[in-house]
Amino acid sequence: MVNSTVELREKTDGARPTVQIGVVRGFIRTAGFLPMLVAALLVTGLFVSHFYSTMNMVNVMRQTSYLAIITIGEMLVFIVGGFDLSIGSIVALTSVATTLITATKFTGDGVSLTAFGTLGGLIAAGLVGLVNGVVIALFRVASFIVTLATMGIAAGAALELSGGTPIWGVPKSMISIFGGGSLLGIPTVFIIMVIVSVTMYILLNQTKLGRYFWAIGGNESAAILSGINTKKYKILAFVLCGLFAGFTGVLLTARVGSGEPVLGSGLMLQAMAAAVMGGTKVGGGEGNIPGAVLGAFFIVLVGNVMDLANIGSYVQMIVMGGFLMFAIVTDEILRK
Amino acid sequence: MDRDKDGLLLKVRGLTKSFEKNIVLDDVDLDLKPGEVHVLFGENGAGKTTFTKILCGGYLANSGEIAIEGRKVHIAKPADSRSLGIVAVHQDFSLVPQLSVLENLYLGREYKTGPFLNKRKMAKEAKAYFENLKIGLDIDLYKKIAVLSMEKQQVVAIARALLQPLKILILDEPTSNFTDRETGILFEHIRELTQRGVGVIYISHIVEELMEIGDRVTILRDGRVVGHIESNADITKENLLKGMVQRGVQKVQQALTTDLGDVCLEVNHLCTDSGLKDINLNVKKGEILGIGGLPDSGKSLIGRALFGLEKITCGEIKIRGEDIAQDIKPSRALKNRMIYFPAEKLDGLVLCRDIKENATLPSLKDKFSSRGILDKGREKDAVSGIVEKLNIRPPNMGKRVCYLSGGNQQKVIMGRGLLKEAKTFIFDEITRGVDIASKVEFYEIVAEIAKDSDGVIFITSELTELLDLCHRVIIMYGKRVKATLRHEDATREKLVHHILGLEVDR
Repeated sequence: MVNSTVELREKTDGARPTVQIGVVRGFIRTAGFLPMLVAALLVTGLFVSHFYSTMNMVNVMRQTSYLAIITIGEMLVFIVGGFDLSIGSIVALTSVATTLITATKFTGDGVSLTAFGTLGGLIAAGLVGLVNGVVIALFRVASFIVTLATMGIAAGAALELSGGTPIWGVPKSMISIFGGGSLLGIPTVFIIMVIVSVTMYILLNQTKLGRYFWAIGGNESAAILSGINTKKYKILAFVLCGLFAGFTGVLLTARVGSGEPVLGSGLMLQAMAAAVMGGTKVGGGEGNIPGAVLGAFFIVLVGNVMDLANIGSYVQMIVMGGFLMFAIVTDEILRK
Repeated sequence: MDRDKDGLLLKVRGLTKSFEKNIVLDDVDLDLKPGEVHVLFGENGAGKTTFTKILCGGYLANSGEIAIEGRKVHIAKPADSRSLGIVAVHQDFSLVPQLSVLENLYLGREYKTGPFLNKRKMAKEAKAYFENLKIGLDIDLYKKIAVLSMEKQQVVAIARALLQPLKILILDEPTSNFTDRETGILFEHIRELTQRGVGVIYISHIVEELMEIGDRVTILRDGRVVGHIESNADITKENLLKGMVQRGVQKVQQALTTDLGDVCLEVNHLCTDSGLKDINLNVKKGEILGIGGLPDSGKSLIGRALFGLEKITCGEIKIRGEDIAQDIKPSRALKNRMIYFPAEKLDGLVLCRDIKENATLPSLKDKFSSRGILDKGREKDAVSGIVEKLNIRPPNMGKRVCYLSGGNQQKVIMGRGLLKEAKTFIFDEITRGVDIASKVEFYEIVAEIAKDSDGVIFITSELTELLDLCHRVIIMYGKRVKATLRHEDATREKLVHHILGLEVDR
């Protein structure tokens, strides 16, 4: 009813590119600015002592893995046109839930404790995702508000269940499998991240489900006209996002060796930044797995390089924010 | 007011506007004298609304001149138009539904004391204003627009326009939700304004109204001026119809198939909560059933209702004998091999994805995947066949559909129907906003599709299409079926008569 229809028409008229785009521009358009930024950082690393040390490289790989897994989940929600603020709290809730189970030591076997703990944590995470999805899809509430609410609920639940303090009782086998373990020098979490990425890549690009996700986020009415049960798939995207956040929570718990009610507090913003820098469109329909992983890599690198160069965390925050702004604005300009 | 020697309030010369290759206004001239009501008359898509939107700064004309009181003006944005004293009430009212009546009335020109809104002054003025207006007295100034009836929204939209200082008033279908009493009062206000020298551009399909209020008429067809009526006395049904039925350039040349089969889709006493009343129709195998009518006649609602996009309150929809009205939704309709092509093609497309993905979206499940894994090779083969058959340009199925022209986007949607192997097709205004060459292509495609189909429903506001492409035509008026005509009996005059809701009295 507002006058905006007129402007809209004009915009679509002008949306068709008429000028030939250059090679560099074309590359940036498809891959984004990110590969160049990453390359620049890797070059910068040459001048930072200890950056290319094995220990630091392994550290970067680990951190990238945690962030990449949670970013992929957030990206799924972005793709279907949603938004999930609760993933950071889900990490904390999962950490507490998992440790509460393993701390009971109801079986002496560390491996089965690990399995049950992981399962319990994932169930808790999946439930939060399910609540998000159901409320958003069935009651048509904005995902921003719903996940803001569940962010509070999950964070509160984590603090209440743990009494606000770290819980001990993560089995040794869990720490050695997920936490510090490595295979041929490559950290286990990195291998897990690669498996997750490849699986999700296949899911998004080779399956019907993936197509439906793209379509729903790209234009929900087109999906409905094509007979797709959009509600079902939206719920599924939120559940998957919760599960990925939960899985990240399990891995991080194994790394820190205790159930932490404040684990993952910074992850939500980092994951969103990584997804957006990797070419995911807020609003739906666009995003890609390599971009999300590279985005996570970039964010970890920025922090790492600055840490090693003794740049304080306050400045780091400013730099990160600047990069995010830069990425979004250039992306918007280049799309035109 | 100083005017130039011809004394015209508004002088438009050679106004031309095209969207891509589609020319919607072609060299249109119009004179508006101070104090007259100048009617724009013509079918849907004749260019009336585009014309008014250019005057309001909504669109930029490709070429042409606009002069106000003898001074050449350039209208680039809505603010330009407003500062020239042009005020419009559009068909869609252009109100903000979330804001109150008062906030809408003064939107963009609020009274302030210092930095604060002077709500009392606005409320006082508005109240006095409605009393003077004599309609809408019962409107609560603090209610949100969204909760008002259409009739009251229309009053608010008109009131908002009349509250502003104006020289030229544009009214686009201002009485569509009014009773005779309200229309009468509106006309009194129009007369009052014209006595003060305001010029009014008035758009309506309601012939009686035009006879009462119009001073002169300009008749548009396919974006061109095709006739003038120079005095109120000459505004008659006959003269208006004469202008409207002059045959346009293009003719749909499609031989209609003659061997029709049994009835495959049957609708009995269908009602929806969006207002459709007692709709009865049927379509035979191989038949093209045209549905025509004014924009709010309910013709598009039929297509939506059949595809499960409207809430059905009573009646049956029988496909091959089975009634599916109770639990109809798009997936159910698709399962019964019925497919719907929306009037607004952007509703149907995922713009940021490519041709292939858009074309196969409804048929992924049953044709191009097994156990959830896509069969991309098969998909590619099938889509390349469609791209070739429908002559989609560029013939590159990896192209994102946002880079295609309107006609090719529409073809992608049609390809979707072919890939789904649908048997019953519902087309809603598929040729709107499409250039003439593509239109002809579409007619061929539709006629071809119809041959082996279980029936095609072709909803359109173009008379030519109803006349030449369809075996039978249904005309909707006031959300009811007004008339059903067979191809042999349909004439332009008869169709226009029914579309305007007139009784055939000859």
